[in-house]
Amino acid sequence: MESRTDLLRGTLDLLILRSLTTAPLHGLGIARRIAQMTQGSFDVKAGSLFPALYRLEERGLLAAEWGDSDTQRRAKFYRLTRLGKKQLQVEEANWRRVAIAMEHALGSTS
Amino acid sequence: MTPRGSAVSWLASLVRNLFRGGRRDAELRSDIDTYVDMLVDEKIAAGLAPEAARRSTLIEIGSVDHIKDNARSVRAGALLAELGSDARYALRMMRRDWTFSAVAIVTLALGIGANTAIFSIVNGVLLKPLSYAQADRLVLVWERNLAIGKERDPVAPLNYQDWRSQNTVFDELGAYRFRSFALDDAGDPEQLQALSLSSSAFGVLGVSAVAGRVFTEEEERRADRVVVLTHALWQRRFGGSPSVIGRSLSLNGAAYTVVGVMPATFGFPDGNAVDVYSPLVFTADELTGRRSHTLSVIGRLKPDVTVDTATADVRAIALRIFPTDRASNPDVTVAGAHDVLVEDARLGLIVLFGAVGFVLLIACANVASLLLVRGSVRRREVAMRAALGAGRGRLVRQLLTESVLLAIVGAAAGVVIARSLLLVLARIHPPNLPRVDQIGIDGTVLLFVTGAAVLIGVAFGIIPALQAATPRLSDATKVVTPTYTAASRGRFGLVTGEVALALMLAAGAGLMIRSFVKLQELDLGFAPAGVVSAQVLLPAARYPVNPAQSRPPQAATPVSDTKPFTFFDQLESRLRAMPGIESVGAVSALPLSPVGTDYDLPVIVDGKARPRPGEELQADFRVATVSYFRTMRMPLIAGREFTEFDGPGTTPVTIINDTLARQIFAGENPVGRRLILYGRPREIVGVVGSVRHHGFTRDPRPEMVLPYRQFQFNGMTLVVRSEMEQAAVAEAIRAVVQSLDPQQPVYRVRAVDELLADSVAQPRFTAMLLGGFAVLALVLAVVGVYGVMSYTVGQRAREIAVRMTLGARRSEVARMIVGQAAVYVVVGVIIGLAGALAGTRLMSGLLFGVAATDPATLLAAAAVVVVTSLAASSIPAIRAARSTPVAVLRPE
Repeated sequence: MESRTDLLRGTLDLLILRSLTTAPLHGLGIARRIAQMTQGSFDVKAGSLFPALYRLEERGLLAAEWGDSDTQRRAKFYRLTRLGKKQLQVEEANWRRVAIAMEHALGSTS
Repeated sequence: MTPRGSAVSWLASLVRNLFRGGRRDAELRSDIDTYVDMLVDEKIAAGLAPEAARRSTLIEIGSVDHIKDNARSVRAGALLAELGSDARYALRMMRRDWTFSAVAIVTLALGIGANTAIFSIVNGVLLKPLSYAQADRLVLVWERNLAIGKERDPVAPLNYQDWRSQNTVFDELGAYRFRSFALDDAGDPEQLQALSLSSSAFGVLGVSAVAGRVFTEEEERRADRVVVLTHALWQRRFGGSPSVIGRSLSLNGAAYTVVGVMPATFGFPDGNAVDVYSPLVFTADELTGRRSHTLSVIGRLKPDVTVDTATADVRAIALRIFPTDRASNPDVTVAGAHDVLVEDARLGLIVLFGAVGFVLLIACANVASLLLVRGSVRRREVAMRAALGAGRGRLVRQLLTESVLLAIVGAAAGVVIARSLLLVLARIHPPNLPRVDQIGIDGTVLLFVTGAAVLIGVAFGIIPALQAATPRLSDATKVVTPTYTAASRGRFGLVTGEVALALMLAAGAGLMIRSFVKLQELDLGFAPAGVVSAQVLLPAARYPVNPAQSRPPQAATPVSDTKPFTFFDQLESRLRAMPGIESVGAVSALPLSPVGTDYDLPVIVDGKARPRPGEELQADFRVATVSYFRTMRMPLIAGREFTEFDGPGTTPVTIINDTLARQIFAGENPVGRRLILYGRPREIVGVVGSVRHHGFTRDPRPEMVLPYRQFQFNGMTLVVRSEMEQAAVAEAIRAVVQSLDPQQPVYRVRAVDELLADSVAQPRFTAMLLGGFAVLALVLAVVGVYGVMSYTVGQRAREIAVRMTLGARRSEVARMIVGQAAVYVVVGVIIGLAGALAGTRLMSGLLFGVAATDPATLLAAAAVVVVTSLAASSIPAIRAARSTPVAVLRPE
């Protein structure tokens, strides 16, 4: 599920923020975590992942530092900033509202 | 739903990206590399061989560069950073293909340089507001009477006073007129140009003195002898000394007090050179009637009052006055001061600006066609970049950056060219071009150049860029063999466009030059070569004229000669006695000269019913000494010339010109008839040929001339015909005047030839520049045709070789190539002729004696363009015909 319109870009940002709630992760880790969280529905590819990561970092929602991975590779680990955590809460609430609204809308016609 | 985040953080990133972009790039690179390595690790762990694992990973994620580019393009300031890297790349490309860049830059520099120079003039003369506060509210006001062909008649003093007190549209109204003072207290007498003005005129312009003060309304009313100096005179004559304030100067033999000095930047908006300002004082005659129209009136409109409203307001006043005094005029003209100042120069400058714009368009077309050629050479490189992940938009942006960079470098060189061009133009511009001090390369001009550079960079780059950025990916790997594509259509368009533009310019220049030649061939009615003129203005205090001469006779005319007559009589005879001097005369106003006493009077024929006042024929009124006509070689058509016997005690006489004779006596012999002048009958004793007094382009006006011995002015223009150098004649005149009166200055010593050259300076300037631009355009267009045809021949080399192998003769090959060029050229010429017919109409106001659609000129221009462009295409054609088919075909 890559690059499907702007609707999904917001979704991708939300998923990235969500994936980082428990611990800092590197790029591939984030991709894997999102796949796991969505039970394989979202397979985020590098082409979407990196632009999103850099965008979020520049807006101050993510911070990053270099560290060693479990496979002993030098990798950039991303974590949520305070602003990022706050934004995640807002986005989550928004998304829930939309999801419920969509559910009602689609449910009522069927 | 994209998270917004913090603006501070974004700004910080922007700064970081812009200044430390390199480090951020490296970080991004290793971030992605780690990602790739980890994927590979996973695959190896899953059991793949390292080689296979890496290959499958790379296939999976695609181009790393593409990802990197995408990630970079979301970054803060990405656009700027990309622009920077594009520019660096463009610079590299420019250096690599140096010949191409040099040709393109020189072409653009010529085009932009010429444009910058002309725009500097247009900006300084036409666009910049006059240098007064709220200059757009300054207007000039004249009397107007279309019934007798007077669009702008100077204003009678009483009318000015009535307008000033009765109008509701002006903040303030001022009046001025020129006069002349002899500064005669120092050892070196000098004639000063003075502006005699109302004190309110200073208020209209919103200026005050830089030292001392301007004179007051009180001083003006009392006719106090006070003057304000211009900055230039203050510096020249008084060394800028502040002690000049309060000092007394002897002007025309009377003592005047200096009360102030005007700022260096100050000048009256009419642009005439002035030395001193003196209060405007009216004579008793002027305050009792409205017959003498002598004033220029300038006003400052109230805010939000338009020229039309002002016209209506003052016209209403004029209409109230007119029935009470028929010497007044029933209508008025109001016009913006700036518009009036530049009106003679405007059309010429606009035409030049348009012409130079055409040159730039041709230069752009040339560069565009070079870029098209280069686009096909660079097709491989572009395809490669596309294959590596550059999007189409990205490629177009890169190619446009290259063309804009070319344009900017070209513009920088253009500004240098413009500077030297302006230096040249400063020497050859017409002397009556207004506001030359405002011309220069200033902020507005640089803004214009920058804007133009970016615009034309995009304009000539966009089509080649779009074409080049649409590569077939297969081009990346193979040797590209040029084929006919849309590019050839583009080139066709460019060549025809260039030919059309060059033709339009050639036609315009041809018309201007023909018109100028016609001017030169025009019979002026006198022979100017070998005549030197000089102004002598006798101060009325020492040389009083008879005031009764311009009033109806009450007593008997005085029978003795006056001092002015004696002065000029002696001056002429002493000069005439000098070796090398052929003849000497004097007149009140010399043709084509801006100085002199020049006005007109109604023509009243004795014994004929007078037309209604205000509708009579007006004729120019002049006074001349006996040998004036002979010195100027004006032909006598009937009757006799003046003689030394036409004096105070003999019959009053006049000589008229043949224009007046035709208009008023239509076929009858005027000699012996009488005209009433200043209430006194004068016998017409002769008819002389007409002269174009008011310039080449104006038809001769009717004239009446009186003998100087019977009617005197204080100021006369001396004319001396001789074989000697101008400087020697000038020296002789000065010496004789000094010997007669050591206090008397002589000024404006000019060869009549020079006056003549000045009066056609504007058309000559336009013709010269237009001709220059046309030549430049033609050269550029010819280079363009040559370039495109050479390229086409290169592309068709194989085809030509095959044809020749199959038996085509060399002449046939050459004819084929020239034929192809001929198609371009003919289409271009047709478009160009249509354009010329439409365009030259706009310049008909500049043309004299030649129609804007003059078929001979248009055909000649077309012939020049056709011949030169076909000649240009024949070079590659001959080259093609000489090629050896085997050499071309062998490599395949």
